[in-house]
Amino acid sequence: MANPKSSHEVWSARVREVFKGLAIQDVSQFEATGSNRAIQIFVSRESFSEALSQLRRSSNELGLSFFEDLFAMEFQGGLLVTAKWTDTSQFGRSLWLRVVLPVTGTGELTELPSLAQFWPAAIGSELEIEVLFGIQFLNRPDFGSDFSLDHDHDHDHFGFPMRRLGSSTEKAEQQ
Amino acid sequence: MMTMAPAPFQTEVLQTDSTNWVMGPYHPGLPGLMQLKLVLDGELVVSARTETGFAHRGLEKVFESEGWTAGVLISDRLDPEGAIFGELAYCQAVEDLAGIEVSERALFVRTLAAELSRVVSHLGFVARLARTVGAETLFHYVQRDREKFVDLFELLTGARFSLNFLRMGGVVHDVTDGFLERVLEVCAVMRHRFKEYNDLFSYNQAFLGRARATANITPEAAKRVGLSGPNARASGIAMDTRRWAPHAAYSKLDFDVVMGEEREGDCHGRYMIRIREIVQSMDIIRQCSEIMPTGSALGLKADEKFKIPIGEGFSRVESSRGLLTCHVLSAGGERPSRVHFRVPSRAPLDLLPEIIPGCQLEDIPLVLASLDLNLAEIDR
Amino acid sequence: MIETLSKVFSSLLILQLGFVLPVGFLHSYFERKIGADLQARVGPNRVGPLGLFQGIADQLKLLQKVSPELKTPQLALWPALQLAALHAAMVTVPIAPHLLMTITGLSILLPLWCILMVSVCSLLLGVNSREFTGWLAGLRSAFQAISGFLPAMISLISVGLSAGGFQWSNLLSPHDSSMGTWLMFREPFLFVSFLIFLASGMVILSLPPFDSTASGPDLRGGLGTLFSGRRSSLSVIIKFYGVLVWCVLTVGLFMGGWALPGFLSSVLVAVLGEGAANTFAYQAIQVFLVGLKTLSLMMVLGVVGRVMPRIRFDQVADFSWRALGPISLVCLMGSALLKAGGISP
Repeated sequence: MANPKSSHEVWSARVREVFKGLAIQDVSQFEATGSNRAIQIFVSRESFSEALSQLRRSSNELGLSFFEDLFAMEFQGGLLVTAKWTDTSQFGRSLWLRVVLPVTGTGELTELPSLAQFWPAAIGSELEIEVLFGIQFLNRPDFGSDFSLDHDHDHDHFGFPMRRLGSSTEKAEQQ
Repeated sequence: MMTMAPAPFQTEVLQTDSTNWVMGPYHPGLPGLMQLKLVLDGELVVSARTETGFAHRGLEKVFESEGWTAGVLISDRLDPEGAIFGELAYCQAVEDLAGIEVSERALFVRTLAAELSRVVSHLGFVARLARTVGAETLFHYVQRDREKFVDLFELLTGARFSLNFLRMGGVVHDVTDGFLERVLEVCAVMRHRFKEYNDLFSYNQAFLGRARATANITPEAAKRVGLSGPNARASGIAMDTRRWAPHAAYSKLDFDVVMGEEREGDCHGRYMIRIREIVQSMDIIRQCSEIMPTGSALGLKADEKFKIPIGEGFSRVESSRGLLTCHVLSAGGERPSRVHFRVPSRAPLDLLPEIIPGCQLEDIPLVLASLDLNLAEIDR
Repeated sequence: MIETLSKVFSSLLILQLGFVLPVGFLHSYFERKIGADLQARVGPNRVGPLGLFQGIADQLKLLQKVSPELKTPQLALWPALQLAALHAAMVTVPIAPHLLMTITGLSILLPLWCILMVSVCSLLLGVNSREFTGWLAGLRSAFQAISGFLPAMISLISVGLSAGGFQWSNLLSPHDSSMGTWLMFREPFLFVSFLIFLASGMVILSLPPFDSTASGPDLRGGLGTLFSGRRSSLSVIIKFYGVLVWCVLTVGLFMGGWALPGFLSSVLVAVLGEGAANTFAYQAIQVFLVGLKTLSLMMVLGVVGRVMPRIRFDQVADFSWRALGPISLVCLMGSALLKAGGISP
């Protein structure tokens, strides 16, 4: 039986090779206990689409059949969007694709290509992130799900509640 | 003689247009606050759209304004029925981030509490499903039995649903003397109940006629939306987070991944798999009771000024509905910078526009109940 | 004329006070107590000794509530017509000889038409409700009623065929009615007809488990929730009356009706003399016996409703058309053959 650690190293090397050539800012191991470790790849916003295409082409080979999660958070003055794929049959094979979107205030929208057009499991997260963080996902397909806090419902725009950048909360924390 | 020309023949046109109907946000057939926008051809559903967000409480934002320990209180509000799972996911993520060790005994106590939570959640599922199809007798029987398990929570934690039991590094207090014996007694009684449930309901022709071959979820559809938990296993996807991402004490326990018998992924399959999981959970509880190590199970007694170092933490838990993950970001302060949960109920919700068309209107509550959606965790 | 009117009025009074109210009172109590026992609950135990007066308390509670304004005036009309139809049915069913106010050559068919009227009014109630759920509930009620009517009708014809006519006098022996002489036990086809007749009644009246017209999870309670306050109590009464009429009809057709068992009849004749059948005591015992049989049948229907899950309305109609109908036809042919062959007693 192959040494699981070495097979993970082989797999990690293959992941790096898949994303070679893209404007990758960082590739590192997210160390966590047990099987929760992952390879995280920070890409630039410009190469995010290409990264998604590469991943689509290689997902079978890499065994990343399960789209696990998509979420956003504030990080180092911008919005960090993380998309996670995992192989539910193998110990510790997870890939996180991460991109930092620079934003200056709380009121501006920013954009990313939609993941739901390739991985329908992302649709719920994209709906939420769009409303709560103000990140628009371009070419987002319609799978018949709506989010009641969506701006299309003519609610008064209340900002993006999950952002703190430039908000009074951030200023209070800085003081 | 004047003759009258015959009256022109007039055809009557029967109106057979489709009807638009919106169920919700308040409707007894829905699992919570959501809207289901239906286009109906008589009683047959032609298309469906879902809308959620009505129960949005801003839970993930609340974490950012409360201390680390208070996060346990907030996380057990994620799923009111399976409170332990939210707490477990959160505590594991923070322990992972801060490098906090958890004692063996605490791992087993957590596993015991998690499996008890799973039983309570699945019994609640059975009760809701029975009430949806008018099987009031089974509803009362299941509620009677569920009360025994909820009483165990009260014995253990003082609370019935929002338990506030876990802490970083362990649990708030250890199990008391006699608790494990009481748990085994309740499980022994419960084992006899399944014959009652099966005789009364599980293989009742009226229920089978409605639940068999209704709202089938194929393995391909399940994989496409990221379905997990009993819903996925009923559709033939052998995925159990306790196996592929062991947490708590699951790596030390012996159990199989419960799969659907027929692997059809219909309403009946989703019901039967949860019945089997209750049996499996009771077996896991028995194992935990038998091999519970000695020692302390207590977690860190932390006050508000408890600080976690800068970094991220992540954990996975197999909740009663599927894969629940928690991602935590710390800026080195007394409160989390970001807490995010990936909830298992989102995936079956995304499948509704696909599986509801073709069903009868009367079967929609049954389909929704069979998926065990939890709007509280979807909307957070 | 006045004599006839006073006779009719007093009969109606005796019918209500001596039969309907006691049966209703006992049914509301025992159905809830037995249902609660089946469901591992206690049932009514607060109002009165052993909770006997819970039904009265519930009705009083509903009666003291003000009903909100109805969306359309017809919503008041259809329940009134339903109640009128059910009252009309009560005078055609055999509770006691002196209480049977309508005697025709087709007596046993009359109550069926009255029950059908109830379903028609349910349809119209749903149409006039101006709510999508009401509309669907009315349609389902009509759909089920049509499907349940045929097997019920065929079962009635089987009974008439075996009894030699459609008058109550053909069916009810005036003297001896031990259980062995009940029509349902005379031959196997009639027993099956009895079961089909009961099931058809449940389908027509939308009783559980065939109660998709009042389904809570999808139709939010259907027609029953159109009313609140005092009118809600009316819908409860209509439901009870429907079940009562059907059970009394079944008792009259298949279970010997008002005829007393042989030994009891002999004892009463010995005590009261040759004209015993015309005495108050004899007829009171007859009413009591019909009430007992009716109550038992209503309990059985209640238990079946509690235990079985709800069946979808199209499956109910399917069951009626594909199972109850053909089997009832087979029973009719069987009864006819037995009668023609001289085998049927």
